[in-house]
Amino acid sequence: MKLKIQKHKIKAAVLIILFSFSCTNKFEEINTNEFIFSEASPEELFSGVVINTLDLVGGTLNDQFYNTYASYYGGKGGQFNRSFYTESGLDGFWKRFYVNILKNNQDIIDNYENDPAYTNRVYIAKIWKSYVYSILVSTFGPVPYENASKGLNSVKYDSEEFIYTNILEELKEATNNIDVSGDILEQDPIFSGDNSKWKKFANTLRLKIALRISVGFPSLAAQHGSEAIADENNLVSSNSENVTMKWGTEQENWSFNYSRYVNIQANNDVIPYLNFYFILNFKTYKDPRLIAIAEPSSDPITIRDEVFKSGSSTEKITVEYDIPYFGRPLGGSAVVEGWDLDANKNLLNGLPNRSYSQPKRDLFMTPDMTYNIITYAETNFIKAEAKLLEWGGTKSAEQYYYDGIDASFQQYGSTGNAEYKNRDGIKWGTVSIGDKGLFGLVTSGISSEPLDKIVRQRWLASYNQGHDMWCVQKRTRILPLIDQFAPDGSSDLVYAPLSERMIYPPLSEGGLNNEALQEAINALGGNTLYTPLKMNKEYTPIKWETLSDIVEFTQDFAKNFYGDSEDDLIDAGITYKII
Amino acid sequence: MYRNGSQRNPANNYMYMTPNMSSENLFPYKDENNNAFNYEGDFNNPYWNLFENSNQDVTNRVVANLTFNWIILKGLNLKTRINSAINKVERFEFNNMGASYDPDGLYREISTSVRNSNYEAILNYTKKFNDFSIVSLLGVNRFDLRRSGTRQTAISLLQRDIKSLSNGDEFAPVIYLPNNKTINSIFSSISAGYKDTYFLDITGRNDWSSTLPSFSNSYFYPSIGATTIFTKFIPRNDIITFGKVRASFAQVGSDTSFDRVINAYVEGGNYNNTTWLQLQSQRKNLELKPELTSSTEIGIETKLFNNKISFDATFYRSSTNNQIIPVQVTPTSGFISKFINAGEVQNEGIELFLSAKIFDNKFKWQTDVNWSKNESSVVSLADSVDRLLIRNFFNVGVYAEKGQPFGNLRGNVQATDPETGTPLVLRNGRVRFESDQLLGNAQADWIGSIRNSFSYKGFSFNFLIDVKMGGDLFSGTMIKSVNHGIHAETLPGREEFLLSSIILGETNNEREGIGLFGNDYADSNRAKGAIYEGAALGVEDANGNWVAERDVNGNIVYSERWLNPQLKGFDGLQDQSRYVYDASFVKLREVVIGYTFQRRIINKMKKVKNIKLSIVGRDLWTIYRNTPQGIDPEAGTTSGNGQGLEFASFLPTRSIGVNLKLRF
Repeated sequence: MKLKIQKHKIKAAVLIILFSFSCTNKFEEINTNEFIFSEASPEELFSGVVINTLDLVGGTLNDQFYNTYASYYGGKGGQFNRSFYTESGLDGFWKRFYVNILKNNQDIIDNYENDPAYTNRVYIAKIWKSYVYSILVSTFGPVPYENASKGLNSVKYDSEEFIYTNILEELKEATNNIDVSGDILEQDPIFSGDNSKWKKFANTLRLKIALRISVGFPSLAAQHGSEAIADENNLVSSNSENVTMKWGTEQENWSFNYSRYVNIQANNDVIPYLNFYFILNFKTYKDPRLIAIAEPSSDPITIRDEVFKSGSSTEKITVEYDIPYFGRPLGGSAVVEGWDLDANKNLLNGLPNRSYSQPKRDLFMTPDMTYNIITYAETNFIKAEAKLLEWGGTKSAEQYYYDGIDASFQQYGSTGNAEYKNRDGIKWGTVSIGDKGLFGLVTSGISSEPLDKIVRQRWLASYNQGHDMWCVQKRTRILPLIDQFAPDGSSDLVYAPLSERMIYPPLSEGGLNNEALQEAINALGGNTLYTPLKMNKEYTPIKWETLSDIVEFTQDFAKNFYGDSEDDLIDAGITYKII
Repeated sequence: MYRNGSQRNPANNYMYMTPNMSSENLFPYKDENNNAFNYEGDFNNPYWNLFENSNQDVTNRVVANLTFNWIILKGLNLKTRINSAINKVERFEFNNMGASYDPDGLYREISTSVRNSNYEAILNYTKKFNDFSIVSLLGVNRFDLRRSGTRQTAISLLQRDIKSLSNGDEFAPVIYLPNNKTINSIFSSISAGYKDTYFLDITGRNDWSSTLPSFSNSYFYPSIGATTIFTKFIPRNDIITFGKVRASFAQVGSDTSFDRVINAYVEGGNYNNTTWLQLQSQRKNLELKPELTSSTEIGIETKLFNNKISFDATFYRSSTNNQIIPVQVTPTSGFISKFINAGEVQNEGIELFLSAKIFDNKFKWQTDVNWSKNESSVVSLADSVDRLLIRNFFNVGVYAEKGQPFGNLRGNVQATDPETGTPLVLRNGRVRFESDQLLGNAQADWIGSIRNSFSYKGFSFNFLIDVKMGGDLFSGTMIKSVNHGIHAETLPGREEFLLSSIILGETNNEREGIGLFGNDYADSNRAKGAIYEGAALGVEDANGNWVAERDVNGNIVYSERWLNPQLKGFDGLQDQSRYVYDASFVKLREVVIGYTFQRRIINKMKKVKNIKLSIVGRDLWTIYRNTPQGIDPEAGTTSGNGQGLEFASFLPTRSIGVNLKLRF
């Protein structure tokens, strides 16, 4: 009996010892998380890359400063919009650019580059890489490019020239080598798998970037621009070929504007309002697109106006009616110190925020709104400039210009483009005096200079493409705009000229990649908002305080809003009162 | 429980509340449609968060032990043991519909099941011969950790008040929560004693861990120690009743957590009818090595005056090599953070303990005092880097810096004139700052505690006082409260500024002392708002350094630039040193009042040997602190590395409880 118990004990003990001691086999299996994925297809990665790009470029950055820098928004608050920055904001932007977007996009290239079954899809990823870097380099200047996305501890910054050279080459290769009948990107969020549209996107983007750097790097620009425009079949040639990104109706894919301003019923101080000078340029030329882009004010101002009596062209009467469309200047109600202005002469004085025009809700505040990367209208204006630069193109600059206006009208579903194109200032070769702005300093007039006409129309046609128009203004300096008169106090400025760039993130790059950052700052010559980029045109900012003699509140934005005659009011169906 | 800057954290809501709000403004907090009222600015009603959001944790735990003991021979036995604990945790988080920050509501369920098992077999051998005694063992152990779990989130709900996933309208991707680990070990130890006076201990252990890569998953660590009970060979005396001296050198190896070796993809969301994936943003390390801590220790334990007094002291120095920590990296690398073996961190210090039985009769009074001091220093970091960022908040970072104590805080500080230390301002009177300056360190100079225990007949009373001296705390709560103007610190200068700007209509220039026509402003001595006392305008000298403005005679021109106090408050974001406080404290940590029932009463109850009833109070009183009212010096944004930052932390809670202990 005792022996049996003893034997049992021995067996049990041995079992337990054996149980406890096994070697290191199966260790790798134990340390693997079976619920995450060791592989990802290009489709699975690319959809995430696109929505992340859309949320960052079309959502956050547009809202934070691109749309203000392009003078599409007016009076928007926040340190970025007031020509300053927040360190945590900058860190966030770089994380989203490099970790969420570029690394995952690069993964497609790294993993599938050598697989012939994926050639087109790798080119698509390379097109996207060039697109995103084109935004980075024209926003910040030199940025990490060649050594980025490699998991390195220290990543050097590459010069503007290096980056532009490489992305233009990549776009050229993509255009030439995408095989329309080759592999397809299933679940393609941009073109639904149409490879020919990807070719067109690559080539049009190439032309667009070439134009963007035509002042900073003229020969590089001409080389690529002329090749791109020579391949005219591979340019966006109708509104159905517009390159767009679209948000979605599911909560996780809601547009920035809807999540931030509609879903939470944001208060009137934070929602975006359209820019005064932007709306002024629509008003001056009685542009039918205005009602497609702007929401009429919920609290319009009542003005007294002098118009010709109905049927007469000599007798004038005074009428009173409501103005539904007017915008906010960049600095809201701020003026420059030293200007001795009588606030009572300003119709906008003391107006609550909600009175200003907002962007059209149906187009720009829906959960699944669209963001334009390149439109047909814009492509025409680019071709018009390319023609002026003698890069090529089968039509004349004038024809491209008119094509662009037509395309834009079609895009917004507006009619009356024939009449519009005939107006003084809009018509090629004509001049217009235009309306004076709020302070009487800049006007909406257009000179006979072709560049003035083309850029002005491009601005009006490209609403919400804040980054693109900021770059156009930095390159041409030709849009009639005022500066930010209410800059953030930390900037130590009384008024802030248009930023040349955005600064590098001080905390994440300064703390984690400092050596490379300092080298880049030395090469660039500084790290402020006003350190010029090579792509920017040289420019002397206006000294607004010296204009105190000529500045005065001007109410042109409200004068003769519908026309100079009572008949115009009747035609437009406006209720008015004769005084 | 929501922490830090979450809109759902009532302590954070409080920082956006204007001081003149009363309960009339806050109740009711929702309208007839059960939607939260919207307030101006970023304010969310904390009562909404308290009453409409809820969470719960339910844990079920089963513990099992199985032991076999087999005496093989005299002095040789085999003990085998299996321990297993299974924890099942069901947790939910509920945000009701109608919140101003999330009208659709949210419901999240986390369900995990964790099994911890140990299988051990130890062969023990003891032998006594002559004056020697030997106790030795050889053992093997297998440790298993297996966890499975899911986290499911409904990001919008169908109806209010229903806390269930079936009430979900849209869902985030399901996240699985595995956590698996196995460590196999073999270990051995020998303790030899001579005449019960001299002892020598030697141990050795080798672990194999599944969490490290296959070529570096085995690590060995020994230790050696010697002890002498010196009172055995010194002449008997009335002072030292018992004394022991020990010295040891020990190494401890350590592995890391599950899944830190291979990078993989996780679900990111669903867009365009495609479930998209993204690379994990924390870069894992294919070359992870085990951590190793080596420590040397010398200690003495004494009992004096016939055991009336105990005095212990320990000196130690330890260095941890290859500590496996996540550190932040430049996002341009494609990752946000990565796991590294961090180089070497050294800690050295002293621990002292003194216990005295002051009275020991019917009335007993015993005092226990602890005192310790630890100094850490980062000897080297990986990849010949000088500095690693551990954590950051509000642009204040906690760093491991080579040659410095671990956990330096760095941020922006007001610039000063290099020669005189005069603070500098900008042309508009606001702060001129320098970035990346040293703000302090959370590590204490010393910590200690004192406990006094009293007992008389059946009653007992003891209280514990905790002390920490030194250490810095950066308060994000103060920055926000000042930014929002709800803190009394923002009052100075308000009336003066309103008089100046609204009533008198003075311009910024005039507040800076410059009249309309470039002349000196006549009323320059009157206070017109807030000002940086004793500050000067910062100007660049010939070498590009920022120095104080001086007049033709070389004297400093003090700035008379009056500011809107709101802007001076906002400057706190650029002058973070303002909000770094000394985190020293003295706290009444615990008070226990107890009563042990008398024998007579207990003897009447069969089987019960002892009954003790006590009332315990914890964290009753902060006797001394240097942080502002409402900021607990022990607050923090995290419980891990990266101490010294606080934001919207809850106030310390006082707790009072009752214990009843029955012994059968």
